[in-house]
Amino acid sequence: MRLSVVTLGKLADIFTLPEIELVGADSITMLDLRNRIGPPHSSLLFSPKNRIAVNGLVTAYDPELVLADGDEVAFLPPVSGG
Amino acid sequence: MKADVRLGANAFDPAAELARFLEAHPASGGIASFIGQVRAESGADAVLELELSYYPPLTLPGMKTLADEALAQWPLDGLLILHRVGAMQPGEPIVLVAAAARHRRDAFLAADFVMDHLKSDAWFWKRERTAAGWRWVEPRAEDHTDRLRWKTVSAI
Repeated sequence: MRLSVVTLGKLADIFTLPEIELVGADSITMLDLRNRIGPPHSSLLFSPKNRIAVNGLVTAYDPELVLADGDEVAFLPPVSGG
Repeated sequence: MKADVRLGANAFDPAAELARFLEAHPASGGIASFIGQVRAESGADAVLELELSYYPPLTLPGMKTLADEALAQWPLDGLLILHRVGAMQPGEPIVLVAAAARHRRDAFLAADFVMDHLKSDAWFWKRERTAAGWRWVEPRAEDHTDRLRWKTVSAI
């Protein structure tokens, strides 16, 4: 399965990873993704200051959330105004 | 009534957009508008370039929801929200908000409400280039408190 990871704002300067390919897996959880990204980037991306969107919907961090093939996970730092 | 909400990577002409908006709402007694532009300053801290990034699945849909909230709150004849993204030079317009209503108060309030929420809630990330290089703009506490003013108006 393939997963797209999008980082916005200053997070894009810290970490870019356009796509993750997980051979042999049909789905993974958010916690798996966090572990796969690993330190030090995982703690920066999953900081409570940031919001997470899955397929364009902002969600609360849920380690059990199941991510499937083709999903897009976006990490959104605090917005800085239009 | 549906709002005109647009996001664009190209420069726009606020005067021409406003003229079109006025023409479209001859029956409105009051039209309030706001233009935000990149500050043209001099000195060592002057911004030489501003870049706004956004996230397509969220940014424009969020602006449309904001427009719907304004339309639900005030009796408007028309609402225009134009926002630039990408790289901008000092003096270039960033945002234009215009609200048309039968009476001025509704137009003023709706434009003010939309601007406060665009500044604090909309999915934009801003970075500036000065003589020292690029830096990300952090959220301003004032933008947050400006948004809180509307808590007394509604549950939004």
